[in-house]
Amino acid sequence: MNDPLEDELRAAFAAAAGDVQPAPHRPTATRAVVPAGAGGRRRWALPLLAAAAAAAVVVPLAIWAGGNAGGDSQAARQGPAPAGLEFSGDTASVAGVRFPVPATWTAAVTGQGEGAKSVVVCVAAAPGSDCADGVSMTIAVADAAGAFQPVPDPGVGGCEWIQLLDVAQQLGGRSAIATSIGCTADGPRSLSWYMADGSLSVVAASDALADQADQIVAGLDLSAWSVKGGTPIATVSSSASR
Amino acid sequence: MTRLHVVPARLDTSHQEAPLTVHEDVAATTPELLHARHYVKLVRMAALMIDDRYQAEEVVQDAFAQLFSRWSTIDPAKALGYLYRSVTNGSHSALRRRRIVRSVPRDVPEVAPGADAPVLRAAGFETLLGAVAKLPARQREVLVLRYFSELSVADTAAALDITPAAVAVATHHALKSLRQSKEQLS
Repeated sequence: MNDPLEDELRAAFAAAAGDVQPAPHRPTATRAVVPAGAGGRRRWALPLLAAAAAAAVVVPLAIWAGGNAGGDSQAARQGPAPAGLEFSGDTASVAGVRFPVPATWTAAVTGQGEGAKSVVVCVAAAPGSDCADGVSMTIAVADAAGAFQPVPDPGVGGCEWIQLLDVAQQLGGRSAIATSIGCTADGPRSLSWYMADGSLSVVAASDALADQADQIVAGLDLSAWSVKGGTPIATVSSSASR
Repeated sequence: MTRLHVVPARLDTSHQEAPLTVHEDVAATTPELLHARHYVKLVRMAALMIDDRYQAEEVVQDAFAQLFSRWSTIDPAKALGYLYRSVTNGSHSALRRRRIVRSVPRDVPEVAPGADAPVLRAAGFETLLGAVAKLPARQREVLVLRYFSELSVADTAAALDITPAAVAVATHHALKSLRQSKEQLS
């Protein structure tokens, strides 16, 4: 049995660290980074910042233009998303949920729930409405009173089996459940995370996308999200064989 | 809403967050992959050690800069351990520099706590985090590595370049101090 103080320390560190959202830096432009000397230490920082600033302007414009060019895209059919997708360097945010965007990937709002009570985002190299090659997130949108409607549990309905990975997962510092799920007889396997209060789900289309999904999940920042938490609804209640 | 068909007998943790052992067994490890998977965690770890997220970012960026420049000489299987050691060393140096600055009297202005200090004092844990902040640097580093990064005693020892016994002793003293702090406050 763990010492309660040790558990408290883990919780305290997790809570404190959850507030630390570093600015994105990706020193991949050159391997020839000079390790020593004050002048040369971060000579890639300015070009990176410039590139990030340019991307912050260009990428949303490109996505906006692409969405308009599609004409009958799902988002266009359903009207404007409840909250716009905003990019900042290697992160994006929608409805107050900020998440890292893996290298070479981008993000797009691909749908919204009935009555605009949730928003669906696909993070992928080429986000599509089915997000078959990426990681999709369904994010609850709170009403004026702060109430929200739970988003669908990716592990319920139509899935043949669920493999529990972690019942004590943290998404942005909040309790969640991580599972591997198989929704068809012969795959593909998927990975999913579901917030214990049903407010958010993350699904990687296959476990080949685990690295990117891990990165997104690990970097979730929920501090600006209007949903501040609710009653836990997702519980592990029984076991059965696959 | 309940989840059914859970298969605890087939628990598979391979898809949880990136493993936090310092000897990551990834044959195809590249510095870019390490950066993508561990940058945020390392910044958070350093921020917990030195209580300043901007300085923490500098420490981690320096660690990655060294990793990139020395990649050809580093065993990929030990690269994550190298990063942990670089970041803990960098954090230790940052704290030492800060102590030196604070020990200089008068005309050198006091270094104020980082602007993020109130944020770091996560709600509900102010007392405990405050007590952790008062611990000696080594004890604080051990606690962060053990209870935030979830490193084993051996990996913590490797990251700090000390013996496992020293880790055990530092952990014992740190927990004892924290218990005493809690008792005094209660």
